[in-house]
Amino acid sequence: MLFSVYKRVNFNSITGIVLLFFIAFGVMFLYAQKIYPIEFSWGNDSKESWKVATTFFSLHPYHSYVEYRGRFWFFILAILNKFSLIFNSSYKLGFNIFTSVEFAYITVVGVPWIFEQLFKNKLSYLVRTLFMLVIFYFFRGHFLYPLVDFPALFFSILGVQFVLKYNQTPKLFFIGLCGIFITCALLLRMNYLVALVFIFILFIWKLKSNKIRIMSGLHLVFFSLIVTVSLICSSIYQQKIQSLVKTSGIDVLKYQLFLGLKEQKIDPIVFPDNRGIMVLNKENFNEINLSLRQYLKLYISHPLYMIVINMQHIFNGLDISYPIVYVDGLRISFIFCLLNYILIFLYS
Amino acid sequence: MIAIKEKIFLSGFNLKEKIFILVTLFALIAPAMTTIPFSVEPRYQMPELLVLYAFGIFNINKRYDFKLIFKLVVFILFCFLLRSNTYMSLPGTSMI
Repeated sequence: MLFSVYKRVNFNSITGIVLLFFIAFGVMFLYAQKIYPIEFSWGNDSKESWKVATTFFSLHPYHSYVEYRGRFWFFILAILNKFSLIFNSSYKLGFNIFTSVEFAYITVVGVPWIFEQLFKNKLSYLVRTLFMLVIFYFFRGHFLYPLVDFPALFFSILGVQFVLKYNQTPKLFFIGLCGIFITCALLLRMNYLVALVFIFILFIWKLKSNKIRIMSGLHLVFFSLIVTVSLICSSIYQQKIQSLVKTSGIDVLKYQLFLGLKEQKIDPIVFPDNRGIMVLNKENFNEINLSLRQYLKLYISHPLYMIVINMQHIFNGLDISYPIVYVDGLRISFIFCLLNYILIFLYS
Repeated sequence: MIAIKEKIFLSGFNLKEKIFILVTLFALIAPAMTTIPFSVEPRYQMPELLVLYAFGIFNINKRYDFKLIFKLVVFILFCFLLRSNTYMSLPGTSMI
């Protein structure tokens, strides 16, 4: 019966996509609201982010180290929290709706649309459903925490979609939206600055006539202005925050580069990196700050070790063991790992 | 439907189109790649997995023969071997 319903719905139509979007939304929302209410297990960054968000509009706001990424995410969370309070519901209601929309959009609309445009290949209803279910299986729990990783990806996917749309039809509207969404991604995670380079390449890809060239130039100025103003605002605020929050004087980038040599994975316990520790010992490096220059110097003095360390980081990043972020102890599923490897192999 | 992999590497797309595809995909995954030198939490690498899964699933009608299954088995064994390397860095921790 389910199969006959599947056959009747024409997936190429907008109706089919909207229907699938609501199914994906419903699945994630039900999971977040009823099946896996995890507020009691929010830890570290999640816990701190929520604390900052709930006091965001109060006279005495709570400040935390998580604010080094800027204030945009806490602003969104604070709005979602207010929304929940209006409905006198669980404080997670607003966040769960947001995260379910995010999940449904990424899996049903965003990524499949990008692949369709790139490969000029219509994707079937079944394939989209399968993709949604796979992402749900592997990452379902990751969407339940107030962390910036997935919202940043969500906004970046929207940005890429609109730059591709602009490539098809050069209209100010599309590049304006692209600018807004990429700025949102940047305000959530600064490393999305790298994506900007590729967005610019896509932006100037199909310049043909003089008129389009002039129009594109104007759009580029407009787009750059949005990004620059938002980055300046963010940077001013971060300086203010750094004077408010005691961060022990540690530069986040230097600190993470150092930890990257000492630890090879956090999942959920910390796996030490014996090679990295050996390299640090050889260089008599005991400080917890490691500048980018010093890090690159290690590549010259210990090229093989450094390549192996970073290759292992790539593998460890792709080798996921849990569908949630914070896990209490090692409970690894063999099937989970196996399915992940099979899916990666399907690409290769 | 021609498999995506065949489309990219064998036919269907010219060099310019291949570059366009790569640039678009890099716009999605490059930010995640900047976190590779850091201490890795798997959630950082989600965009790469998302793209890999999309390639895998949207390419699902690939022909399955003995050669491919043999390669799959070797690949899985290799992955578990690499994984054990990480887990053995913790004294007293078993692989699974």
